[in-house]
Amino acid sequence: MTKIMDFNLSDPAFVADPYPTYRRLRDEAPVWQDPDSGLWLVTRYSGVERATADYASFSSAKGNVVQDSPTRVGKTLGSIDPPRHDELRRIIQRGLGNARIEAMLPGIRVELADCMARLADKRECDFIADISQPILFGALGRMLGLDAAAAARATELTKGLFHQDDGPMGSILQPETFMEIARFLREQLDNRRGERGDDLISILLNAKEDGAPLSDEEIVANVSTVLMAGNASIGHFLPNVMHALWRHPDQRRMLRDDPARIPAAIDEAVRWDTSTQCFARQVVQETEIDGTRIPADSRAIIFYASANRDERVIPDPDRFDITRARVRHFGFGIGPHFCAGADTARLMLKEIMRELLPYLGDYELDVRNAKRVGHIMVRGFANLPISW
Amino acid sequence: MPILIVVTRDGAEREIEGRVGLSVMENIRDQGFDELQALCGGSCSCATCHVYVDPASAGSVPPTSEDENDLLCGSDARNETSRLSCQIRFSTAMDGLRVTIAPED
Ligand code: HEM
Ligand code: FES
Repeated sequence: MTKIMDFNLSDPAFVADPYPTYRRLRDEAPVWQDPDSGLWLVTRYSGVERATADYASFSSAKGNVVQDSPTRVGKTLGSIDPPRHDELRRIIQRGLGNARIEAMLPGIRVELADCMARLADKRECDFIADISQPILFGALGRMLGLDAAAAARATELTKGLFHQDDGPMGSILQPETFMEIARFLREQLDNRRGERGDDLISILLNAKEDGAPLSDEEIVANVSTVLMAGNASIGHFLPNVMHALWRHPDQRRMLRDDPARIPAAIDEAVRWDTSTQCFARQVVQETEIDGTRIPADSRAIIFYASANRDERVIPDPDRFDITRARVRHFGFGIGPHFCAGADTARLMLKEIMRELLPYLGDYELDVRNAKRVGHIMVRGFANLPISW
Repeated sequence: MPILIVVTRDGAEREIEGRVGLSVMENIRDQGFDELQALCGGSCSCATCHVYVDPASAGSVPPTSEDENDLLCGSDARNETSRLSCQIRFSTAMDGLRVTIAPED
């Protein structure tokens, strides 16, 4: 039943606004094989829900990005299936637990204050390089117990993430850079053999010594996910929220007048324009989904961002509305791989937005001079000029 | 069949027949209560299956594990009767259990 789709995933119009294409895919070919890459695109709410629940058919064991790195596959939460996944998840989740998040708040406030002090004489800057990255990397650096030099190094190492030149479905980072990140984190781990802090690496080392089934390589690989999530997931999401609110000034005003609405606004923005548009799975046995058969040994791409706009389930899904009744959406994923950092991300964002929104007031974004990230997995900006 | 009483966010109360062996979350979702999101599907990872257990009917409910407790800490809506409904396996001893779907954070 699949009709031939005549668009090209590398088309700049798709990168600028993928949502009309997702709609066409949902309507005409909800499970569609891209002829160039061979990848199977799953775009309906029902298909996304089914595929993520059926991990026996849709396995994460070859990684969950389009092309994953050997330093990570089989070691990160995102690249193993249950039951081992669930065992490891318990351990990592405890490390990311709420006690740790609360402990981060004073650190976030320091990063915010530093950032605003640097902006004191300015009325314009690049939101990404001058506001979003310093605050988020500062906060995540603290979470990982990195000193200033190490935090700077971590920022440098992950800068190229999703900015490779091999196309919208290509690798997400150079293989050598993946190796360097692993080496860098290994050094951090070795530094904590003796003295520990209350950072995530120390917590995981303690857990290991207390008998948790966890190797040093697994600690390194999973901490690298946190670094990547800081860069790609929350790093692109914060600018997306600012963009959504700029496009809807009435809602921006409503939010400034009533900061208690911030959590609802974050939730609606994760639904409406999430930074992590899709994740990959390996189809290990032939399976049928939304009426289409996918053969074994295929690579499937699960589009959370498209499911979140599926009019079959979500009323008026293209409307951004921070007052809408909460909907069940997949912005943080669904199933056993549901984002382990969702609470962390929401708390960080809440804190940041509470300070930034009044500070930046009726800010303007110069979207004509902004550059979009050109990878199908990520929706975000490489730079985003802001004035206030 | 033992009864499970579900109170939705608008205060409406409904009795459902509880299926023994399934979790309270699965029972609620299978009866079409969409407001319980249960995004992680019951792996104690998302806290979107948060309910309040009526203390008068909580006698036979097993205690909260450490992992469940950690996750619940992330919710502003938590109170002393809070549970993740995916972590309670429904049994005949729980006949009459009354749970209220907690508000979203
Ligand atoms: C707004 C920000 C974020 C968004 C939109 C987001 C989204 C997601 C999504 C959709 C997944 C599912 C991946 C899959 O299906 O394979 C995921 C997984 C994950 N995320 Fe996030 N994330 C965010 C922030 C974070 C942060 C800040 C952290 C760490 C502190 C984090 C850590 C993780 C981890 C460890 C996983 C893997 C979980 C597993 O496979 O069990 N995320 N995230
Ligand atoms: S369904 Fe996710 S914690 Fe219960």
